[in-house]
Amino acid sequence: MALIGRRLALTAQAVPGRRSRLSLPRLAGKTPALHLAVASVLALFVGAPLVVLILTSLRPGAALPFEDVGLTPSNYLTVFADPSTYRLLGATLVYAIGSTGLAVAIAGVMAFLVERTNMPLRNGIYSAMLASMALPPLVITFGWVLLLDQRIGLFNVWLRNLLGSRAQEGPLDIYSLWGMVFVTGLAIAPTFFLMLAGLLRRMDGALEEAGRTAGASALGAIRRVTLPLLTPGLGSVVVYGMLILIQAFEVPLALGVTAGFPVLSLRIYILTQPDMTVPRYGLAATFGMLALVIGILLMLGYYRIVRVATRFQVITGKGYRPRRFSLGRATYPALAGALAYLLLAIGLPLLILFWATLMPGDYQPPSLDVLPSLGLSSYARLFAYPKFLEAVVNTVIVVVLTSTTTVLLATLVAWLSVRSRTAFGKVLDVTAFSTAAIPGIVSTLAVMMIFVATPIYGTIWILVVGMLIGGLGFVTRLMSAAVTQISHELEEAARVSGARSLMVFRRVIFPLLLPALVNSWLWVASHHMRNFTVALMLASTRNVVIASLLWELWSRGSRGTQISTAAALAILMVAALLAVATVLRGYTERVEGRLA
Amino acid sequence: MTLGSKTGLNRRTFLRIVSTGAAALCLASCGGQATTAPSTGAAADKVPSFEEVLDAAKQEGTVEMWTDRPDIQALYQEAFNKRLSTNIKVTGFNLRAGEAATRLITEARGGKPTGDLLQPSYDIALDIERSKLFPDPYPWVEVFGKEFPAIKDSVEHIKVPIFKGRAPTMRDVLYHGVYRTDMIKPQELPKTFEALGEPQYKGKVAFDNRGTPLEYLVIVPGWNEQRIIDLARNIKANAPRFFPGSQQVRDAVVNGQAVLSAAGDVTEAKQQGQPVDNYYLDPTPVNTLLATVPKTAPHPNAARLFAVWVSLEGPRLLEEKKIEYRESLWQKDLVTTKALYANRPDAKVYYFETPEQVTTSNAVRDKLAGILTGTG
Repeated sequence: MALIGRRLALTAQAVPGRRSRLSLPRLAGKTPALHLAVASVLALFVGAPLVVLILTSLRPGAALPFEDVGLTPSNYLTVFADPSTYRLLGATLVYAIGSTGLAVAIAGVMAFLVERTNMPLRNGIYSAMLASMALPPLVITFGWVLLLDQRIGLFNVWLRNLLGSRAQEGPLDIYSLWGMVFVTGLAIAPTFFLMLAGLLRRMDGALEEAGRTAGASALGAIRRVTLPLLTPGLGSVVVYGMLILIQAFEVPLALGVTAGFPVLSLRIYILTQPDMTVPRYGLAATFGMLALVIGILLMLGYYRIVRVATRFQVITGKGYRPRRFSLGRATYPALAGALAYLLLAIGLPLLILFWATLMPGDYQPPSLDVLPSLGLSSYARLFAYPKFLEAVVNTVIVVVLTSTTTVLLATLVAWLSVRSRTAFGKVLDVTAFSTAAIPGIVSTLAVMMIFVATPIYGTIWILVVGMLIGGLGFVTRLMSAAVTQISHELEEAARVSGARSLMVFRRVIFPLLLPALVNSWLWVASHHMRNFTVALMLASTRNVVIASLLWELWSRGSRGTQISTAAALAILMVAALLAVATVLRGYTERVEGRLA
Repeated sequence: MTLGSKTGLNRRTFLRIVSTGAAALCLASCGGQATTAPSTGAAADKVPSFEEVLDAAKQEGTVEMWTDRPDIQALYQEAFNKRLSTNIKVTGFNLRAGEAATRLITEARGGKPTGDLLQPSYDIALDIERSKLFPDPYPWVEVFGKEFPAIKDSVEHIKVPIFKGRAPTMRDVLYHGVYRTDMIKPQELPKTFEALGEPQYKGKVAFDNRGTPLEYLVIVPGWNEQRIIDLARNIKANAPRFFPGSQQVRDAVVNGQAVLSAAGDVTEAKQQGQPVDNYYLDPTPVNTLLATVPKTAPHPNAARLFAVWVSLEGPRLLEEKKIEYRESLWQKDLVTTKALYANRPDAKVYYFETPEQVTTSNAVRDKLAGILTGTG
């Protein structure tokens, strides 16, 4: 491998500046056919939901897109004539910017510490960050409500006692804008961490060292070398963050209503999920179109940032080798900071969740009075719950298939769009990314309509199809950022050295993309483990999965013992993802070790 | 982009790919024509006997029920089969009534119906009716009256004329409140909805962000849209804590986040020793749910048999097992029905009686959500 590396470096130097198009999956000159194949898949899985979204927005009232009730712009008139729409957009912007800012700051520092420094416990922290993504945001928010509710929140009770206050409420209130931003920022930071970790991991330390040699301090090198090189990645993170926060409804649902701070996503959710009435799909789709337009504008901004992608290629043939900063005296303060974040973001909600699993009935706050009644009966109830084992088996199948297919498709789209750099490639990229702007309920409805008459309807395969759309937008961004960083010099050099396409892929490209592939896979897996929308809308008696079970226990039937059983299920989900993340992280390290 | 030898793709292949994509898009956008559902015997000339329905149900062997309480299906299945000496499998999963209706309509359009039994409220039933999937009139009393004499009361409990004789009652959604017994005394509780706007309840009430159940007051004589909106504004001025949904409102009181609410049921929590209880507000509006066997039901006989049983004996079973459920007010001997009248001997209970009331109630709900929390 070292020999090949040297050859690569020499060859790359020998052919400076030569640009190649789509050299890896050249596939015997059939790359346009590959374009068309990917385009066809996207047309089916992305185009159809888009058509459904547009049609639904043009149908009146509660009509479904296929109902023959005529087309009307009435939903658009209603939305744009209503002053509350603009308040909603303003609130959404404040919420999205605040949450994205907090999450980027946390994720950036954590990713740098884990990927670019010699901080101890890096792998454990990495796995913990990933495992936390298995926790549904609703569950995390519930944990924070129990910690920071004005009246019953543990922190507030302790603070009141500490301050000798006789007040019944406060001083902190999770039901507020800052509460929403705080919980969302903490909850979304692991996703951003994944995106940034992959980028930092692949960054060539020689560039920073050059900066240091030229007289820059460590911080100066980070500011003037590392951060500018991360521009496309950070652009991706911010664009994607804003986009998903326009749609993410869990935290706004749990906190925004009580806080009196409704946002766009909450409006869409409430329109599509009423308790006792018919969903208002027309209005929801119109708001979805609004989100889509905002998303496309964000995408255009992103393309402007990365229009000269080669500027950001840091993995070249010239002796690429990631290096780690030595933290020196800052080692243990940095470790303490990272652990403090984990405690705050994951530890405390998990602890409170674990406490909930010990309840014999409805949740009660931690106190000495409750101790005698605690037990592990919730776990026994969970294992005895009808369909639990079937749900576990189905979930494993669905999650593995969905994650693998999504990552494969997204990688192809990313490769074609970044390397071909044609308008068609960009269209593929925008199309794949636009899935992030389609409300989950609408895309699931589209899948239901397309496949209802096929044999896969009602099976676990329909869930795979439904979930494929859900993760494509994010993973395309993640893989685009990764592909952007790899210079084509490497493939060309390998080819000049006599390697065939498959060997170039296996020995050069795959190891370099591996961190991003693993991160993407884990992200999709963790999110689909808890994807309620698809699991419920496409549910049948034959395709029960853990997500539908969790929703059944947690959100719609939080009576008595069900909440502790749901908490037990959430704890087991986190444990399972922690194990998978640790194994995959170990594998990535080994492959990268061989590459180095 | 041109197609030629450089692409490695011939025109025929290209057209095949494009036509496949176009067909998929067309299918997505147009859907299939609505499948005409087979008549499930509703308009049959001959009234079937109970034994014939029972035999047919045994043959069908399954009922798929879409409800928000799939956790009690196993309990239902055991008791139902024991009662009728059958071996019918009761399956299903968790779908809200609105989602269930959407799914029913979509599946019918795709020609692949799977749902046998739904429990829509009147407004969702109207939507199912518009899609021509609500069942035709059926001789419920003639078929099941001998085995289940109370079926007559259950069917007659449906007050809205267009639904009469087409479905039995699944249950009543009666909007009472819940409160923390350690934070407020029973005599200090509000007695009317209007009292929720009084100063002594400031900051203490958990309330549904959509205003439920205020929209149901349209069925009470003397109440109209303006009076309900004025009440909502008064309640909002009293700084309630809004939560998204009646379940969350109920949980907020059980967790101690609020002192009382205007919705929820804490029968189970009370039995577990939690300091909570139900209380009643006047007037008491009721939203009735219909045990609906759609025209497309794959197992119509098993579904009707189960619908009758669950309508009449289901509530009693849940009461015996101490499981929270909504009341069935036409069954006067149920503990919960007795509790209502014992708690409030003068309780005034009102039901929907016309489709117009249903439509008005929906319109008011939209306005309430906007007024209260801007989420309408």
